[in-house]
Amino acid sequence: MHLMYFTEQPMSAYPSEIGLATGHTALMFSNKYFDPVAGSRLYNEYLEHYVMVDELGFDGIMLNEHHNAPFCMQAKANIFAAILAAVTKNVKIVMLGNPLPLAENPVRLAEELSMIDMISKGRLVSGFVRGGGQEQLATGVNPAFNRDRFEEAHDLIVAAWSRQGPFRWEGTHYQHRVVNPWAVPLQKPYPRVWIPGVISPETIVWAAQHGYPYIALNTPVERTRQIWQIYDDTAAEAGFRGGPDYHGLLKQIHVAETEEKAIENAAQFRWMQGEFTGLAHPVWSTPSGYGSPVNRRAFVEFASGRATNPRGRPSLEKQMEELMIIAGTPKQVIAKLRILLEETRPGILGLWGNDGSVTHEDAKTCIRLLGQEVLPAVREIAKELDLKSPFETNQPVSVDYLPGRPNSARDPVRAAAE
Amino acid sequence: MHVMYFTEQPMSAYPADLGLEAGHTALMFSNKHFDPVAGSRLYNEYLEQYIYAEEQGVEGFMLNEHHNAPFCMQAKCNIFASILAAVTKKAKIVLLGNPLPLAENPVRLAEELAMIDMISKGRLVSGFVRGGGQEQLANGVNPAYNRERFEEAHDLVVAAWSRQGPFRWEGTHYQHRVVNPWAVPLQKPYPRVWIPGVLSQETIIWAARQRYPYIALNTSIEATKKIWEVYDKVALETGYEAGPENRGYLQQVHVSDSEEKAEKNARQFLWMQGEFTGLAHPVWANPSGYFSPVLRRNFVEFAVGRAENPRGRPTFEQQVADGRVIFGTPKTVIPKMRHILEETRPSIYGIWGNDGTVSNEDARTCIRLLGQEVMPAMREIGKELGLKDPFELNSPVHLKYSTDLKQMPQAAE
Repeated sequence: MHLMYFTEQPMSAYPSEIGLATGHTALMFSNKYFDPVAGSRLYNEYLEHYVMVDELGFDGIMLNEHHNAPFCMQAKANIFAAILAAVTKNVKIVMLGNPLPLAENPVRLAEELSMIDMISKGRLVSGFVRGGGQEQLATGVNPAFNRDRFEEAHDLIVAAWSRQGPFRWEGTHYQHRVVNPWAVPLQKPYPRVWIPGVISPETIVWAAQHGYPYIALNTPVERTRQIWQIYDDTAAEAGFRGGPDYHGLLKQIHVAETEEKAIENAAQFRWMQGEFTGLAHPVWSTPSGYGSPVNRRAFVEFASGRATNPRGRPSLEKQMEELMIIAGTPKQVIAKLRILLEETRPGILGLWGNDGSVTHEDAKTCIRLLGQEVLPAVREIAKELDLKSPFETNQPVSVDYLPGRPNSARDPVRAAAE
Repeated sequence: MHVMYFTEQPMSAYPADLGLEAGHTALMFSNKHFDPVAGSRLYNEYLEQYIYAEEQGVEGFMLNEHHNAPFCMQAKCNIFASILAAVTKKAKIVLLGNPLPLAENPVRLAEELAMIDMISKGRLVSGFVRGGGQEQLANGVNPAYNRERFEEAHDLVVAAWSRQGPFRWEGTHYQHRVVNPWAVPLQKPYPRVWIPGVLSQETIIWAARQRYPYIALNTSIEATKKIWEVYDKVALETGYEAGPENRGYLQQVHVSDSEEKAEKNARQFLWMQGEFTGLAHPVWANPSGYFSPVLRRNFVEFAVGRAENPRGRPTFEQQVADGRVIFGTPKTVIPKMRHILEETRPSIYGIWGNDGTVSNEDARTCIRLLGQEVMPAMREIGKELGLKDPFELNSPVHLKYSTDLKQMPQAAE
């Protein structure tokens, strides 16, 4: 099993009452409320947390990216990926992920990721995402081209990584007279790609068609099982068996010395939910063309006050009951995780440990208890349930590298020999 | 005086003979010759050298960026800038610089630099460059728009850093419905901007008009003095008097524990010159619209064999005689540095210490001797000569923050 630590790196120092009063906080909530002195302090605290995570024996650190967003300070995932490449020794650097449609030049992105892979000595997992609706607006890219750009950028990056240069690329969204980066990944044929998602079935299908593990981001148990069904059915069509090493799950899990403290800090997971899903402006988070018309209508009806928020906002108690949020002492958390793992059987588990205004001290305690007590127990459970990670099964990087697949078009070694 | 260390981070493990045979190595020289195993080793050696350098007393690191280029492994200078923000404690992180015209989204660049400034606790110097001719081709941007994009991207980055969001930007090259980054720099009004350059007059003039220090990259002493003349004249016209705080100079200086070893390693500076200026394809280094027609013509004449390389390829001995490449033990190098500082009077000095296939061990020796002997001596000389840097003087970050402008006599209408 691959056990990775995650934090949004929340900008917990902003005046959240003003955010609530404004009614939306991502995209247009003025950055006059962003205090860089607090920002500098927080970045350095998060860095300290990551170093602890590496020392405590976690398998990975998960990073993400958001723009114009108080709930997430990672305006560029590659910044901390580069830092982790240098300051950590053992953890995989799991990027979930670079928002491809926001990239105007995927070749430059391929270069950066190659540098990170080389500096980290081959520890990069380079996930890719579509980027939420407001990310498109924050970066000035056309939301209607989101999926096209995602797929073409992916193809161009993989080509830049694995096809011998120089070559041309005459695409629909990207055109390059010369692709010949003098930075290619250390890992061959290229770094693993994991695809995270929440709602969209097309993303699950696309991931399975490529043979890329899918990481369900904090989805409820039933929904998670449905996702695996879609994934595994598509995998069968694509010629391989789905299963735990293709299934990843991110979960909000806070551990403390006492149950009381754990629940108090777990309430902070709702800070993000209150801000992100509750206070995302419904029209900006689903700009025209981004999602299906049916999907968009639900948000517009909510914006006009005619319906409830499609994303929903269950209470903390309900979420704990449904194992959406897991909180407690190590013993309590291990017991709940056993149930979760039996129910959802992932080979990759993301532990989203801290959010909102959890103190630096409490965050470190959570990390310490996770590392020293929860992780060893979870590894035992995983062994018992036979939940192997992609590294343990040595699964091929993509369907093109399944045994017996003719992939000489993409295999750089064979292509060079021909 | 601010003295900083520089390396191109050369990809010294590639087959240089094949490059020579191909006749050009930047842009189109196949990356099949790039071995990522060696790349990984080299990146980690360079990383360890930076950490070691700070321990040895080095107070600043200069980083740069090049694409599709064996001579420089920094395909994105913000990668090592981020790393240095986390692994160093006191040294300035001097980016010279992000190539602005290559950025399709300057707002994202502003965000990255803001993050680096905060993570480093305010140690960023965010220089900007135009990017060479082949960088435009490597990144698929129109060379004819180079200067316009440079200036507009600069204005947008500075706005993103210092103007309260959200605001719109309807520019010629960049349009944004919303600029509201939740990452702004720690340093106020914004991080210092230094502008490096080699050839182009317009860049010097633009830098002087902004009151941004200009960093002369490895130019001859004579050429450097001419650069200051241009800068100083524009400064006066703009309403201020330029001085050492507006001047920076980068030179190739290798220090070792014996003269013989210093000379042997200094010859590696030619590795880059042989490859970069000599083996840049003359037409790709000067795509249409990038330089003036006159300058492009010189390169084309050279390409078809009718003229000499306008960039020139002086021998090692000639460069040593001209003071372009400096080497020796601390004892022989320090007097040479004194002479240079007396002649050119910069308050910012970059020591390009190692290049080509200089061994990791010799590079570290050079770094140690620089950090412990040469740089402290230079800072003393700087004090003696009154070469105060922008930090010491707390110079205005940009012209518009000046408090000492003099009205120039206006021409009669």
